[in-house]
Amino acid sequence: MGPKRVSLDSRALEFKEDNISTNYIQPDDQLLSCFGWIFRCLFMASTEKTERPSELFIDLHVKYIQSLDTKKDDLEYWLTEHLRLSGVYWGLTALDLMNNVDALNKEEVVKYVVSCQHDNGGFGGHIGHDPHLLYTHYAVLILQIEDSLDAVNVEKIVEYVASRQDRQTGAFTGDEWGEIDTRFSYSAISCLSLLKRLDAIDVKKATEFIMLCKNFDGGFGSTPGAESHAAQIFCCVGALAIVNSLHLVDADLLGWWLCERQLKNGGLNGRPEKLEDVCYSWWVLSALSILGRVHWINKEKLIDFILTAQDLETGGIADRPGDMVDVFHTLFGLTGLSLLGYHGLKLVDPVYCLPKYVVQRVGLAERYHAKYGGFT
Amino acid sequence: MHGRKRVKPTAEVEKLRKEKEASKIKEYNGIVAACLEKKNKCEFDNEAFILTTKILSQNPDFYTIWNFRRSILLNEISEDCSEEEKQQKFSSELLFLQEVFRHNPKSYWIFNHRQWCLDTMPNPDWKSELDLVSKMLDMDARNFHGWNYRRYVISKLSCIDSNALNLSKTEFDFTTAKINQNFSNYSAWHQRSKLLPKLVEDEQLGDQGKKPLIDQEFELVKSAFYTDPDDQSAWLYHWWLIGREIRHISILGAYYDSQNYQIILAFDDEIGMLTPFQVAYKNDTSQLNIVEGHWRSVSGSSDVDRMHGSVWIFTLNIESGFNELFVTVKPEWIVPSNSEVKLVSNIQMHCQLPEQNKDTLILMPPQTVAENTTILSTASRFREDILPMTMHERINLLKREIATVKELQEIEPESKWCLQTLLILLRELKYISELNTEESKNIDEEVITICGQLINIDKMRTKRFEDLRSRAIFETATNNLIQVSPNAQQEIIFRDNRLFMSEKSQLPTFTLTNRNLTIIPTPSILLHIRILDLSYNKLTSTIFLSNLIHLQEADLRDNCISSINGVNNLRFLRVLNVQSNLIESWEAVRNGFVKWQGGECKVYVSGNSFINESDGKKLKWEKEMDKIEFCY
Repeated sequence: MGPKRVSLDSRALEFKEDNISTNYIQPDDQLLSCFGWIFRCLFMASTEKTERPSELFIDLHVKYIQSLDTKKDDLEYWLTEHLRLSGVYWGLTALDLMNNVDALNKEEVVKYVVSCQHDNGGFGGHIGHDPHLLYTHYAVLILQIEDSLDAVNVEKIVEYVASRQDRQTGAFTGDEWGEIDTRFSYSAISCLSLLKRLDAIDVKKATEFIMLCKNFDGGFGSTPGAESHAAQIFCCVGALAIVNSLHLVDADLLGWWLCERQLKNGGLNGRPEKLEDVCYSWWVLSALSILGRVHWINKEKLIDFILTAQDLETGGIADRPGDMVDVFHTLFGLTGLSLLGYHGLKLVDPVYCLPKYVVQRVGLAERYHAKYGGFT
Repeated sequence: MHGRKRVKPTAEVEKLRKEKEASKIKEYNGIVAACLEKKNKCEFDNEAFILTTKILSQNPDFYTIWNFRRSILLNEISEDCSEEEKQQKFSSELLFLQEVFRHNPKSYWIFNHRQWCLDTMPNPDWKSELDLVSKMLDMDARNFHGWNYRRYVISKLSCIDSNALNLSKTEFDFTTAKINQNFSNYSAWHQRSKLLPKLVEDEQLGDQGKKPLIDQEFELVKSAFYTDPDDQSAWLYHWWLIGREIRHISILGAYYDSQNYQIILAFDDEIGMLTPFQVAYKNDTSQLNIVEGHWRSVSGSSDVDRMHGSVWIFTLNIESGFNELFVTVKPEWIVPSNSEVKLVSNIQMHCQLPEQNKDTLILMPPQTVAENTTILSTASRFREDILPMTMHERINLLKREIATVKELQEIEPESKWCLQTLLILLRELKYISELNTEESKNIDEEVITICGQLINIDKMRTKRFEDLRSRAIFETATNNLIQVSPNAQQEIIFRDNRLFMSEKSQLPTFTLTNRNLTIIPTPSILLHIRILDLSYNKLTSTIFLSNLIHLQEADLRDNCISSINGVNNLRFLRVLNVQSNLIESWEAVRNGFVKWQGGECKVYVSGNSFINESDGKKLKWEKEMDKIEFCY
């Protein structure tokens, strides 16, 4: 085995992973590593002994989310302004699942979302930030939870999203600068589906492009030729579910690949030989759920893992036990628990990552393998 | 945030940090405000450019600033700007990116900007980009941004280099090098799976050249999984290399119920109906005339676009007794349940109502591709564009690989990958060979044993192995439920007699108890069953019962059922035993009988946790559904 690197970057939130093996360290310097090893053991031992929560501290997490906008004396707060709209979606959905959607003031939320819309219909990550498909999708998700689509120009949104499709290839660009990724296919399809306007795009071509991203392991990547990754798999399987093309998925092979993401500590990783991370409790689990195979994961161990990643002092959930929390992992820890049937949480829809009652209110049919059958 | 350890600093330390950051925050916000102001005013000057540099060095995820920076650059090169000057601007831009990349090797925005620069500059140096990305992958062989970028660079190079095949070969060798450095390089194996088909396509290779190439692949993969049997990359590649046959959907049963003016079809897959199957009769001039009616799936599952199910019933509009009916199902009229299953040819059925077989629709000879021996199903993943094999060669390949893996399994009895691979290979062998019942049964038994071993070794994925085992057990048990009549291609008779008659009732009976069954994979095969005993198993759902349209008695005692589903259309159901399951409320039982289509039915419920609730509910439900009697 080659030496593995420690990834130091930790700011951006799009599908990052670490390369550290939890089993061993590859030290450069023997002495330093010796101290490091002792320190690490002590540190891990102390957190493991004192903090093994076996329940979900909903009140704490609600307070944590409410406190997010107060961290104005942290540099981090300002460096992540471009994620403000995403943060509202993550926080609001988490609150709704915890039966506390009113913990954020509805008028303020809607006002904020509206202020992020541009003339061309697209939304930016924050006020004054350029329009992008990702944030446009988040905006629609938030407005559906708040049942306030009438606050924005929906037709313009449809126009913007439709304009992102390359009619030759069926792929979607994130914005006018042309990045292509199946994440954007999902954002577009989910967004338009929630607006009941899938007619605005070429669904057949969109599906063809997604299928070009299918790999030898049954999984999907970001672009044709790209390696399978759980987050991209969620995007592709979710998109295919919406357009009624799940029959194009090799459900057994992919279901198997997905359940192999579960590691000994109960957590899930995003692809082979990578570290576990709470956010994969969503990307992997939702895809499995759509394919009717969520029971292929060891439920108890995963619940245990997610609960252990809670911070009992500040509230919130981290990417793994002992790490710093953030709203992104808080949401996906909760959605993971919801998919596993954890009590006290609303049911989440595995295709849209919205509370099920919101999807029902919009009037969308259940779009996944309702029955686990036809199994070869 | 990813990978940041939780720290609980003291109030003192916190205070100091905030003081330190206060000035940084002010400075940063100042720069951002100034920059955005310039952007809004469309001031694409050098001052603006410097502001973007400052911001992006600190915060490369601020995508709006990258957009602005690009606008500035475009503005600069659109004015009187020589090719040299343009080139120079972009070269420095690439250097800047490298700096930023050093601290942020996984930022989408950095890669985007680099790509944009190379696409926009007059003379991009693709070779040097290739060197750069090779170094990147040396540092971190699993960075998928790096691999994506590499594919992008290669695609650009292949536009210049007229010999695209050469590039594929070089890339292929690159993956070989990476794999030899570390067999556990999933990214490299993945890349290889995209390149191998291209190499094999090479016309110059010819059939003579293909075989050694493929053999080499098998050798490489074998040494990989022998060296490290725990690494999944090589195993997965191996499975892909061997490929899988597409399963053909077939009809398990077809009936014309002339008394009820219904046609009943049972498929062995849960299909979706895109276009209603055609039902017709022949008039005096032998023309086919459509018979009006409607199809429904008995499982009742549907979404906005289509119905799904394995058993379908067509009810004729006119209650007239046709002597002859023709039913057609075409592949383009259905969707299968997943990508590995297909209807490969039209199915046509002709019902003639001969005296003795008046309930059987006769299957016309299928219009398939001639059963020739050279081409395998074109839809198998690997074979479709690579190596045609005869059926015989393919069987030999499977047997050879099974032997290879079994050899390793003897050395590494605890290796779950060996066992999982054997499962796949054995099932494949069973599917494509024309095994007799004995051989088929042996494979099923081996599969059942292996599943048992896997359940012990891999505790995380127990339920999946239980499902696989259930499938093998069910298949063995239902092996001779369908029989092809002596007229072979022309008739499929659903055996509802002899072997499966219970002595007591002389009705078709199916029993499979105490086998740890977790699922019923192909319930439509039980279409004829009147008496069902699946007690003492681990079933969690009863929804499969909807396929058993003739069901009279079902014993599902001692399973893991939590609610009743799929029974409301079972008109003949008289007895349902769900004692000792995991039902937690009266609602869970009662909801299964909403819109109950049948007559009287007794439901046995003792041994479930909810029966401690008051009998009030029981009486209430019984009044509501006066034909259902809940018994203990």
